[in-house]
Amino acid sequence: MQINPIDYVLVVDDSASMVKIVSNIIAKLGYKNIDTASCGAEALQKIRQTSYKLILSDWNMEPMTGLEFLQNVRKTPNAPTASDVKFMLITAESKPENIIAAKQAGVSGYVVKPFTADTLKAKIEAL
Amino acid sequence: MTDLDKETYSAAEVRVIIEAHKKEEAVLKQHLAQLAHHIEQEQKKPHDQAPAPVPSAAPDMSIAIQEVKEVERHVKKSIDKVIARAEKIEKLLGNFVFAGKDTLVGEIIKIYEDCNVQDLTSQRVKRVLELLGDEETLKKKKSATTSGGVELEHGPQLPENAMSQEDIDKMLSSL
Repeated sequence: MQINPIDYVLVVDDSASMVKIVSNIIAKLGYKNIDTASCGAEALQKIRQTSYKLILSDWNMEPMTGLEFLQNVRKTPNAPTASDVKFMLITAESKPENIIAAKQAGVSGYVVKPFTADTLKAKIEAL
Repeated sequence: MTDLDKETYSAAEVRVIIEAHKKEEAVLKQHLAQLAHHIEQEQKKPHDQAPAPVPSAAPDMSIAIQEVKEVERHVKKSIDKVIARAEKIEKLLGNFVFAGKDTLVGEIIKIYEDCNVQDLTSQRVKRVLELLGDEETLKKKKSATTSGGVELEHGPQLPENAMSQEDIDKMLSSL
């Protein structure tokens, strides 16, 4: 499933700076409908209302981590995007155990920080 | 002429002089005793009123914690300013069409990429604060341990320990 520029994208990070950085980069990559959330709970609320095709989330968030948010997205009943949404973690966590846990939780892509726009573009296009 | 300048004294005069000298000697002895006591007290004073010992070489953790937090605050503030300026340039560019605009936009994207440093710094600072025993940071960590994945939060790795994006891609595709 390819992500189209008009598909809804949700950027989740508890760092306002990172939300801006990721949002501005993907906007420059051509994505038009970008929404943001500052925590997992707010993001879960939003995915119940909007059919996002792609979620870009940090791992290191409080109080709900990105991994727990991913687990919740995958098990959220009746959520319009729960089954087919692509979920990409953008994180500084780069240990094998993180990759394994993310994969087990149903991650679609994994981008390690610091990242470039080219890397992000390539990973989104490869989903 | 005083009595002491006389060449001859009567017995009575000698007794008076001796008595007078004895009194002077007693007063002098008393003064000497007082002076000795005073010197003794003064000698003791430097020990009693000695300044606090010079602090040991051990660092003051509370100062270190404050300094590290200040570093984080400054980095965040600066990066926020950089982002705001990049956004302003983007806005000013608007719908202008001119030669070299793509290059300029490319440079703006690179500014955003470079701002990744804020998040990485923040995570590294958090780890340092934990190591320094900052109560506020440790309290936050403790309250967050119920969330899944907290035990896997290691933060950014040192270059020699970090997996590259390529390694991660290979591992993901092999799982």
